[in-house]
Formats: sequence, C-alpha cells, structure tokens
Amino acid sequence: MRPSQDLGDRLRQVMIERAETIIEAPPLRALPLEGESRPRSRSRRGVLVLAAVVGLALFGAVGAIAVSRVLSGPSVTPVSDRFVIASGETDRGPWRLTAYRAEVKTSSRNGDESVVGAWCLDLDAAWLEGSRSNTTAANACTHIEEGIETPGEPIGVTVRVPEFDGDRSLIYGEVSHAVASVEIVQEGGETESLTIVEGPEELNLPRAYFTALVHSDGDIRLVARSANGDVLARKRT
Amino acid sequence: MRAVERAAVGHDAELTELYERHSLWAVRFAYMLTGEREIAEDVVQDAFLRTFDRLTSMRNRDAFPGYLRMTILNGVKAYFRRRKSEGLSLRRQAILVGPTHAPSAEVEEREHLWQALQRLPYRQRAALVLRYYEDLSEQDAARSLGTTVAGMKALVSRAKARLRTQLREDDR
Repeated sequence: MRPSQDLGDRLRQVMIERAETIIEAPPLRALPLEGESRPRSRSRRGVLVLAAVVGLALFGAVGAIAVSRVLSGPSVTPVSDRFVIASGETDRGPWRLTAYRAEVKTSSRNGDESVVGAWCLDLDAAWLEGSRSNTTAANACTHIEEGIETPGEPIGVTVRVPEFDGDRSLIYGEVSHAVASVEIVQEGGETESLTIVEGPEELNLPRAYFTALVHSDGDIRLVARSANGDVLARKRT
Repeated sequence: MRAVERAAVGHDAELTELYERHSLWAVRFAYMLTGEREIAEDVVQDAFLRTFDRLTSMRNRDAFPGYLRMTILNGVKAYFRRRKSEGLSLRRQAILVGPTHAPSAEVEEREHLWQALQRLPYRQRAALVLRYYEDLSEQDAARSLGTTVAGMKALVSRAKARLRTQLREDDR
C-alpha cells in the first residue's frame, strides 16, 4: 500500500484483506442445516484465536461486555496454577491480577454446549462493585486452539478500570512475547514506559502481561515496542 | 412451520440455498461494519431469520440480497445503539495470526487504517463500507442507509477527513 495511494483505494484494500480472513460462514444457528450435525467450527486459517471477555459484572456499567448474547452463561474452570502478574493495596482493599489456564464452557442459543481451552486473566478485588473473585467468572479469557502455534497480535486483550485507586485508572492487558516494552501515552503527551511481566517457564503462558495505574480519564494510547525499540503495534484504550 | 424452520431442517431447498449462497458475503459485510466477528455472525443469523420471514411477501426474489443488506445494516445499528445505552466499553478482539517478526511499515499502516475505521461513528463507517467494500453507487449506498445522495457524499467526506486526522495522530 503506497502512501500516495488514494484513501478510498487503501480502504478498499484493507477491507477486502480483512474480509478474506473469514472463509466460511457458520451454519444456520436455529437448527442444523440438512445433513449437518457438526457443531459450529471456526475457520482454521483466518481467525485462529478469539479473545472472549467473559466476566460481566466486574466493572459495573462501564465494564459490561458486548458478548453476552454470543456466549450465554459461560463458566470458567481453572486447570492450572495461577501466576500472579501484579498485586497491591488501595484505600478500599487489596487486589491481585492473575493469569491461568482454564476450560470455558459455553452454550449456544439452541442449547449446544462446547468446552474450549483458554487463558484467562482475573482481577481479584472484592471491594469492586459486582466483583466475582475466585473465578466463577473470569475477567478476560483468550480462546486457544490446541496444537496451533500463533504469536497473536502484539497487543491483545486490554482492560481499563476507571477510578480503581482514587482517581487513578488500572490498565492491564496481554502482549505477545515479541513485545519487550509497552508505553502509555496520555492525551497531554505524557509518556510512561512499563515493564512486561513474563510468566514462569513451567506454565508456558502464550502471552506476557502489563499493568499500570494512571492518572487519566481521557484517551490513552498504548505503544508496544520490540527489544530494539521498533514499534510493533499501537492501540487506544 | 415458519420459513426459517423449514430452511433449518432442510425442508425448504430454496431457503437453504439462499443461506448457502449469501451467508459468507453477509458475515464478511457485517464484520466490516462491526469489526467483531462474533457479533457479525450473530447479527447475520438474526438478519437471515428476519429476511426469510419476509420472503413470502417479496415479489421479486432477486431483491433478497438487498433486503438482507438492509436488515444487516439495521441489526448492526441496533447493536451499537444497545451497546451505547448499556455503556459497554470493552470490545471483543479478533486476534489475527500475524508474522513473528516486527510488522513492516505497510502492515502497520494497514493496521492503523483498520483501527481508525473501527473508531468512526457508525453511519460514517457504514457509508465507507457501502461505497468502498460493497462498491455500491452513491444512489444505492444512500438508499441502503436511508439518506439522500448529498447526505451520503457528506458522510463519506466527513468519514475520510476524520480518518486522515486519526492517522496523523497515530503517526505522532
């Protein structure tokens, strides 16, 4: 895509490329189509990993999730030890952010159930309104397909909890192992570099993680960089 | 038995065939509008159910794709309205398989453009999708969005201006 290219042409190219990552449509969901009994299967070529934000009530109205219609009543069962990414204490009580492997059971609208492997992030902070600690519902789970190696996007799931500690927001999320650092750029241009936290080798976590407490209720940009300082991805939150 | 039930159990070959012929296009189109595949699939399922139910009153079956497109647009609009009213701020993210090495400037630029597109207000994004992805004429795109040709031109113009601004900000 040449910079001199017309914006309309560039848009057309980007949209076609994105659309072509979808190579099949799911069967009609009400009932299986004639001669078909297979469950919904995802394209194994285009989108291999889907981040599914599962926890519903943790952040009250701000954090309610857009996917409740798709994943009706998912249940999350941890199947590994928890890796503590970060922990701390606010005026309202302690908090802890952990990552772990889980099985996520979902039900489609026609009652079919399926269990998928996932990596989940939990923010345990019992004092947050609506918080469900102890993982009856995870905050954010990334669906994984067994046996398929994928680095994922440089910046994956990101979560922002406003007024987490006084007027400071908690921001946390996942990055690929190619990311060596994440910068947070606030609206005024103030930049803070964060350290990436890698899990212990025995857990074989597919992603690394970052956390930050920032004084901002405005737009925040995340910039992921490689070890030699190259920008791998940018994302707004 | 409703039309969609006949299609779903394979009793109505025409409906089954319509689904098979148009569903991939429909999911891709809805994905352009939502940027979220699961939501796109959900909207498309609902759109087919609604359009099948209207099929008996559809005099010209060639109009099916047009009806389906309009129903998808309405479904996506309703979805965003609902999400806004519920104060939803977290988005599902489809993580695409990417290269293990640092993305080239070209890949990065395309990623920025896609993300900037997702941040546009719904009608502006829909206008761009209809014009540049669906390749509809200004008249047809305007009809699909329920506006005039002048209104469509204004939407596209505002959307492109906003995209340019966002891309400049991202480069800073």
